[in-house]
Amino acid sequence: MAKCDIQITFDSPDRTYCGGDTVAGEVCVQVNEDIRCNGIVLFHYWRTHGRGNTDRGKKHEIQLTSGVPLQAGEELRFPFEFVAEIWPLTYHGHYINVDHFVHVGVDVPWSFDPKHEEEYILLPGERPPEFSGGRGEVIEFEKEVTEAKGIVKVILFVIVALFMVLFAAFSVVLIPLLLVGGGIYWAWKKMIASRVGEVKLKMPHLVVGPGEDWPVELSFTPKKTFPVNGITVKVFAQETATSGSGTNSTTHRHTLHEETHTLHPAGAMLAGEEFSEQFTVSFPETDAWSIAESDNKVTWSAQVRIDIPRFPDWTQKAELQVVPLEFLDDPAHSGSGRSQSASGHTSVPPAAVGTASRAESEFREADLPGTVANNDAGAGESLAPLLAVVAEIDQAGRFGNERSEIVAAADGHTYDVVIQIDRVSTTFGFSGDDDAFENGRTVIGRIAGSDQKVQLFAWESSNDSLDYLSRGETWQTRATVRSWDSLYDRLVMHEVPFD
Amino acid sequence: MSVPQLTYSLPYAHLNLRRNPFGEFSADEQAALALVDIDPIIARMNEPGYAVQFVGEKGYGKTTHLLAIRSRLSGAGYVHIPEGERAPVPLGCPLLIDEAQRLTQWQQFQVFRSNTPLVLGTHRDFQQKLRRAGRVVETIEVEQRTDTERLHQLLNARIEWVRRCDGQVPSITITTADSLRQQYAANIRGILHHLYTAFQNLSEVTEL
Repeated sequence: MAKCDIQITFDSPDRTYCGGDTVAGEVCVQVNEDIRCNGIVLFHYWRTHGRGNTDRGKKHEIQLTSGVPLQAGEELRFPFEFVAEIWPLTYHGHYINVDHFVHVGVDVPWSFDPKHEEEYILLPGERPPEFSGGRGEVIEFEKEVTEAKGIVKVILFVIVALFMVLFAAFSVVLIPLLLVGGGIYWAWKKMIASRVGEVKLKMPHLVVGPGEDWPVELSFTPKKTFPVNGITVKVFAQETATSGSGTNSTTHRHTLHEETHTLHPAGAMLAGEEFSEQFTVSFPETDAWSIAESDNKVTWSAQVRIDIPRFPDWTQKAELQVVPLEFLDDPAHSGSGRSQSASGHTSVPPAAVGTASRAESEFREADLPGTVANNDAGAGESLAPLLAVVAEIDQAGRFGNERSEIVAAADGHTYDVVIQIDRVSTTFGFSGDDDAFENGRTVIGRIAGSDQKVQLFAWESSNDSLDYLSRGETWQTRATVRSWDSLYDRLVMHEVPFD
Repeated sequence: MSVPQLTYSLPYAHLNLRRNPFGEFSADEQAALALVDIDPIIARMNEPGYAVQFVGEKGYGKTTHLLAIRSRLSGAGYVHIPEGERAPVPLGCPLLIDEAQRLTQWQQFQVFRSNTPLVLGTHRDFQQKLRRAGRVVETIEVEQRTDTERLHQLLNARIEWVRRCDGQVPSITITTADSLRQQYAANIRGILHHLYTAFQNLSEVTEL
């Protein structure tokens, strides 16, 4: 039988507290034999457990009683109360677990100390002071590190000095090697840039909450026309736990999440044609908060890739920090009204941001017919029915085939259309049946009098009139609606020659 | 692959445990749980010039032997020499040096020629050097000291160590211990990793 039995009970039956809450309870010490005791001390702290070495936080000490003789049969009760820490939160993963503990020890001189510990669960509560609510950079939590002592500083200085001396001694060999390595890297980057040009990638939210809509902006103007297998973003989360040290150390990795979202499908990037898109990716619901302790890490990253067949891909990776929504000022949740594609991302063309509701109201003000009625292929319908189709598409959900059905209903109808030109380019890789489009032009612009974007494939016979048009000018023709490009939120139309 | 939705409950409570028994333990816990036969070695620790070296691959139990000896001898001096670093040899009797192959030549000369009883954990066999220094040397290949019965006890002792409260806890059968012994030989670290994963996937108290 132990010298004494220790029980720890919490005021919350499920032992669940939020950061900054008061954790209270009672310690009961049942004494089994007479002992001299130098005191009974309660510690509370967090600690990792699992496959990696233990990382732990500062031990906070509460003296329950000072030295007293304890007599067999005696039962001592000590109420306790302390303010729970704010971070890190309880996490139970695969290789890594983070738990908060209350530990009670009876200090018995010259003998084994009876002790006992119990966990409690810490949920998100108060926001840690390190968080200002900003999302533009990963926040480093202040760690309780002991300042390097003088001798350690001297040793560090000596090591750095030695390294510099060695570098100088071997510079004859090292510098050419570094130059060759640097040259290869430079050539590699240059080769990629020769296709994609300068790529601007913005990930405005590096601090992300679970289930949020996470924005990505990508823009570049290809220097050459090239095919792509797709433009993707991979969201990746991993636990990394290190056990042992030196040659005895082993790093254990466990993938928590790996999901690739297609931002742009396979197709062609045209030389000189700017690709500029904003996307939102649905971040997964998760409790795997970012952790960066010395031997236990939970990391999140996002890697955008322009996948070019038979050519080096352009990639860029950013470390993300996943924190509870409670720590964020402006959680951008999926339920914000934006619809999502099945692949989990929403495409928001820059011009469309903030204009959708306005465009919709304009359509309504025009008192448009609800359906396309005129099926007279000989004479084009006016602009209003076309805008009605656009309004219907805009209101339809992205899931399912509602939009395709609307476009299918409009297929075959001919509309008189006036396009405000954004750009005109040679049609590349036209996949339709009609050869007349293959050597024609592709017109990108907006339907005049609206914000509706359109991509129109024109006949070769229209080349002469189109080649002299520049941005901002208008061009009138007759065309049919063929499909809806949900990525760019634009109508795809085919020109119909005038009789 | 989707992120598992973690539920907030006490860790491993469904197994009546506090944590995964095959995770990484602290040096003190390793020493407390060591199932090693060190009594004959402890008995010789008063002989001046005695040296014992535990030789074997990593993960086979050299450190466990040293930690168990240290926990039995209060005056012992212990050092683990990290990779790529030099570490001062501590004072103490006996002297326990883990990763002794990383001692500098000068340290070897000093330590081996002293009369202090010596316990080495090493990948390299120092028998000849120690004999030349006048030592009485015993070499123990740790691989030979792990049989199925001992392994069975060791694994179940780990489970018992992390028991949450009275009642049943999972257990490892002698058959499982034997099959692990055949699969991993004396690589205890490999066996622990295997069982760590098995316990992560365990949904209820059962025999393995």
